[in-house]
Amino acid sequence: MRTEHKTIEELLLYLENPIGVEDDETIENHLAECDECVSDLSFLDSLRAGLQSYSRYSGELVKAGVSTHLTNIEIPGYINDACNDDEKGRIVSHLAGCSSCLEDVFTVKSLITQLERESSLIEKSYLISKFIIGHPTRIGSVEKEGKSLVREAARVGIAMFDIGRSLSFSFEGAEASKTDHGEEYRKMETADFTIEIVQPAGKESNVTIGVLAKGNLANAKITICAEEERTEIVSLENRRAIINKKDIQAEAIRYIKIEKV
Amino acid sequence: MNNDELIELQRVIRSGGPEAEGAASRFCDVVKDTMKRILSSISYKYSQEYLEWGVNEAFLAFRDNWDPEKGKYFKVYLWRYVKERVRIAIARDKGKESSIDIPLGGDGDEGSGTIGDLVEDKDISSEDKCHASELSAIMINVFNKMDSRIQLIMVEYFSNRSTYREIGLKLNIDHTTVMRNLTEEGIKPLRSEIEGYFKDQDLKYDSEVVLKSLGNFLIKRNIDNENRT
Repeated sequence: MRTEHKTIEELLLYLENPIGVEDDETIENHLAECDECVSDLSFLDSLRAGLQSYSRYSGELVKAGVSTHLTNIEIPGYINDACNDDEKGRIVSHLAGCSSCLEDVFTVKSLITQLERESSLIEKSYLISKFIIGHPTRIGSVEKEGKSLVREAARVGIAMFDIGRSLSFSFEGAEASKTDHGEEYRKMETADFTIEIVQPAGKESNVTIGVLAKGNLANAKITICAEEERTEIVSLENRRAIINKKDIQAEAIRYIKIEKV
Repeated sequence: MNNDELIELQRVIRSGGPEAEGAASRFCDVVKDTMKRILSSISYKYSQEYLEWGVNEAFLAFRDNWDPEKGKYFKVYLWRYVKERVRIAIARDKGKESSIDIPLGGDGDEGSGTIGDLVEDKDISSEDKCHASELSAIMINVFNKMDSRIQLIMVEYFSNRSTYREIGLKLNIDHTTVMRNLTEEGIKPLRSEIEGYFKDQDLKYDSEVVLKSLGNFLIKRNIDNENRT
């Protein structure tokens, strides 16, 4: 009696199994009586062989410098299916032959998926920060997501200094500079405050944080996160407060959250 | 024994010497069960009688004809080509007795075609080459229109031989989603367009034409794309 046709998944699994394994008995009993499934098996095998030839050929084009590496604009465009069929064709053929760009595309794609699933702004900033550290040359691929996160965080009172600094080349409102005197200076704005961080020259664990409220306020609740979060209430005089921290480096400050009290 | 091990085994057998005999014996042990099933599909009656001979046929095909450079699995080669060789040979051997369970094309006309005709990648007619070329163009379009995620899964699974789990980890999705995406949105649309092509042309599905069109369908596009750049 003829058994049911095998699914694509079952045929793919059979292809992957080493020859001569006992697990194959059932499927081979079916293949013995079903030319249609043998034809499907051949189709899958040829598709695989076709794609392997494609990769080998693409790899040669990459080596010869004919197929150019993907830019930081092309990667998100491709991932979001925002390019036309011809561009897509060029990109996927490059990816088939370039493991480095393929890895970058997978990493960016995975990051975007994680960002879509994550609701916490702080967790999102961790993800972007981790990506930036691991793939410094690909920052531009996540510029849109990074900038939009910094803006969204600023609206709810969080100044994301770590990713804001990395994106500062293009993000309006985040500044990082070394002054003439050698001190570190950073400034970011949230909806209600302007926050400045100054680290004097030669004092690597000594920062001054300046807070300027945009409206009249007496107190503010400030949370500074370097290795861990520390929260305190500060009094504002003429809308300003100066906070000195002796055990924090400017570079280590990930974000500062500031709320009206 | 996986395909890579088979490639190594073929190399050892082809180079001859004392190791070749052991390698040949290992190969025969490995294919014996599959050959039993192949034989019983051709003729249950003769499956035992022809087992040793069938294994030897598989061995000869493995040693002399199977070209791993073409990237095909030997398993598929066994089912598709070696099975045909065996089927024809048994039919010839039994001659007028004509008791082969599954007759050859026509009415057991063993005079048509030779074993040599059944080796892989035999030439197809000019007309079929045109069909293969049209099919390639159709498949390029289908592949082009796939979501980038599906293209990535296809390349990673088929070209780079990653597992569903490895791809899932890279894309941060479950491995069952990878498997579903690959079959439902990658393989099936290609298959369906191919079947549609034969239907539209009022032709019988011809797997040789399909296999020919799959061999280098994306390479053609690659060349077109680079020329356009």
